[in-house]
Amino acid sequence: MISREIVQKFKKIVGKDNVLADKSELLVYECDGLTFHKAAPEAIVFVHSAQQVAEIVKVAHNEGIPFLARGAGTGLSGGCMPVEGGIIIEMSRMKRILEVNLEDRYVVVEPGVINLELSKAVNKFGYYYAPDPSSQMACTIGGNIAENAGGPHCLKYGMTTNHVLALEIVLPNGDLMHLGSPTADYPSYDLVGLFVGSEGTFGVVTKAWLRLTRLPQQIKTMLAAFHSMLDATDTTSDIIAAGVIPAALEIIDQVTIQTVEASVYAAGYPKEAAAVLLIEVDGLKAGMDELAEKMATICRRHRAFEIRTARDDKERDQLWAGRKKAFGAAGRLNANLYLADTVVPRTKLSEVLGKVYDIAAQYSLTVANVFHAGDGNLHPVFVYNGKDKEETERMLKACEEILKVSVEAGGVISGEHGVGFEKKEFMELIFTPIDLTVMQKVKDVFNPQGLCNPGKVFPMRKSCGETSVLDKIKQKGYDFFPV
Amino acid sequence: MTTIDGLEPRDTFSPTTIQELSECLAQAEREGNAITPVGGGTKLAWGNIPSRVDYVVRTEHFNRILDYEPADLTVSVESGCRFSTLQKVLREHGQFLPIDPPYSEQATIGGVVACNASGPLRFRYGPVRDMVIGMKVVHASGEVSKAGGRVVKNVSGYDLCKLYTGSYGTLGIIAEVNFKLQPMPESEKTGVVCFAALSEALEGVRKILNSQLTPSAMELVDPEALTVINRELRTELVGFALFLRFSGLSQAIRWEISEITDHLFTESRIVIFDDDTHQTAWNILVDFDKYVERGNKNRVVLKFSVPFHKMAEFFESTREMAKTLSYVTFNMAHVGNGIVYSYLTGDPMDERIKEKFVLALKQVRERTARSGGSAVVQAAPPPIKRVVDVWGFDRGELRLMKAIKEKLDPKHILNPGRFVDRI
Repeated sequence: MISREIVQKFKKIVGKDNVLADKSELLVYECDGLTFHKAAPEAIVFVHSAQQVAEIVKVAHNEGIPFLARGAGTGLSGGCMPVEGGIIIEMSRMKRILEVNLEDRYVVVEPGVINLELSKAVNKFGYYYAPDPSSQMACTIGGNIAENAGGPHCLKYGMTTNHVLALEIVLPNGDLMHLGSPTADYPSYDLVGLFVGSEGTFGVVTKAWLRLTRLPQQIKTMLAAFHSMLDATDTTSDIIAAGVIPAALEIIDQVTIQTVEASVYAAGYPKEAAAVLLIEVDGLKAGMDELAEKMATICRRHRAFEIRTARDDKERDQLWAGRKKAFGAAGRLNANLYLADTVVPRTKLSEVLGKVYDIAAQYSLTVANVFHAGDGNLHPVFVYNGKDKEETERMLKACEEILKVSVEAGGVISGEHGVGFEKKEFMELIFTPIDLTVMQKVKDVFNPQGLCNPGKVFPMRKSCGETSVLDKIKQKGYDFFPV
Repeated sequence: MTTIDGLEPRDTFSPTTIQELSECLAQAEREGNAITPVGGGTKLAWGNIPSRVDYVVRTEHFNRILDYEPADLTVSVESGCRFSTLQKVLREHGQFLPIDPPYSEQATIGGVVACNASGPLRFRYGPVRDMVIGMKVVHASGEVSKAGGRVVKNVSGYDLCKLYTGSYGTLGIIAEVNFKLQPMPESEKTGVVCFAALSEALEGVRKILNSQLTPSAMELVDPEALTVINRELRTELVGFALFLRFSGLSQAIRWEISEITDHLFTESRIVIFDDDTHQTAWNILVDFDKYVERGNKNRVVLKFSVPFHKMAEFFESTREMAKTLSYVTFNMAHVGNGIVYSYLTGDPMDERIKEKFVLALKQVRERTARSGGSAVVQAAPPPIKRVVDVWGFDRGELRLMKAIKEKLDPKHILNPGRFVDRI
């Protein structure tokens, strides 16, 4: 337990109103968007500057207290769940946009800036920040960097890692350090690229230089509805094969369509459709109509029974709302949701998706699929009742099977949500002990004591020097299978 | 036998399998012998002079395309495969790897990735590191590990591909690389806009950046460099020439060309290249060093990476530098990315010129550092490299870099001395 003296030290650094150490106040910090696992922190420290982060981390480092940084807590792999207790450094108050440099097309921001707010702030200049995770209305840049967040439009524009130019970080020993530069080809190992996606285990981001992207001259968003899922996935393959990389290519399945349409997020998707394909193309106006027609022809060839193009921004937003709020709408189906995030080669999409439905049927579960079809990134959502222990176990087994069939098809266990706490035991499905040892060596360079976000990414027995978190959880009596 | 910056290796190995490569490295580590990996040998003049070269390990037998499923838009290829061979196969399927490295005929995949050798196309597609989705690497210990995977989107585990890309063979030998690919554009054309002065040219670039135009590459060529290009292309371009590469739908390109001719640059001389001339022009721009090298064995290639608003200053400073040395300078820039390449040529450097060069480099580096950028000696004859650190990098993160090197190559057998701070 953190002593009163240490809490006093924290209060001295950030002010007494910026430390929460009362048990009742800590409850909301027990988990992130993955509500399945929970563990309570011992204190929350709200920071307002890089200097404060450095000082807090230094105290934690000297006292041997586990710590992790948390933004909006929208992550879906338990990345900011404090599995070993310790403190959470709350970053959301570091939310200033420090510089907008249009000439060099980058911004400098603090990590607590909300993803969508950043785009809004630069839209008036004709720019935006391209990575758009579905939680972009809430999630923060710091979390995006830690997880290497994706989103529907990374099909064309790449993930977070392709848009981070430089970082200011606090290392797990409390040292403040710059990585990289907003100028090109900085002569060093690509530590920025290494840091992005390190899931909060290499240190805390305190400032980020991010690339801005020019708003496209025109955007066309189309909906194509199919009577069979196979037709929809075949359409996506054919679009890619036709030499077009749309800005986004998303599939929404029947369960989701019906759920969304019955909810406040109703997007006007045809209810009788087995699958809806959202196609977005962007770029220059010249040739765009022809390009859209080309897409439509491919859809028709695969028996699309309805093709609709958004006529204005409002219609476009409506089409997207169904996709982006699908997860929220699925909450209507049952008490709890569990979302998987595997990626398979594009050519294996239909096959693996078929297996996902088979697995759900085999385990008598309801599964909804809303996914980034263009990338081969599947998002099966299981709806289950968490109070039902037996159903919960079945659901977990089904998820494990999905990971396995994805890996067997040449895929991976996470496309954009991260390994975090949730999937660490499955790392061995894709990595050998040597692969993991190399990763561990690199982690040890940044985080030799293992105090920075412990219990993540690595399977338990591979994580040298860290005692079993599961054991600790048992000892501490954490609510491991919560509602 | 290949010499490395004038150093003669004791032996050369050309392993034929990963197993052999692994044994080769394990043995070298046991003996404490240093290894320099060599692919096509096109970039051996890059980087610092290695502190030791005991063995050269050639990847020439690692030349297979392992897995290419066009519908996946990904490819898995061995590191010794020639870049040009891979592109040819991809083109047959209407796809390509959107990288345009120098010496692309001889260069191998491993060398391109290890040196992060991006070209002008990075303006649209990003540098090499943005295309790499997976890797197999043989470590100094002989152990083989993989990073990333075969899919285009992946956050399973740390992204070690980023670490190896651009690490100049100092952390491991790349055996296989997986890339994500792009469909070939429907059509391509080049528009060259000629400006009388550098300031006008940069203002022109600014106009393009603020317009809706979406060139895939933008290369700014100064009058001296333009003479070489005119000679090779048999053109009569003048002044500061801005080469704009347009790639995409035919209709869109027509619109883009009309934008530059009818709206943006009505006062400037504009030449449009299509088909063969377009392709040849970019081949020359990308391989410019080859053309400079032909007439000038004594060349120093400097690479400045600076913020856009500093570009004029660094174009100017290379001219000053050349003047001090009584050298000629050819400058060209990946202007949309803030990169200026300066090719300095002249008499062999005697002690006096060398001294002047060292001083001039120090001064220009102080200026690039202030602007947050860098000045790298991309290529130079060994006598120069003996007296300068080609990277000029001394920031705080060196501590992390050295610790990484220590973990992955504790006996310092992989290209020791080659990379920053002679790591």
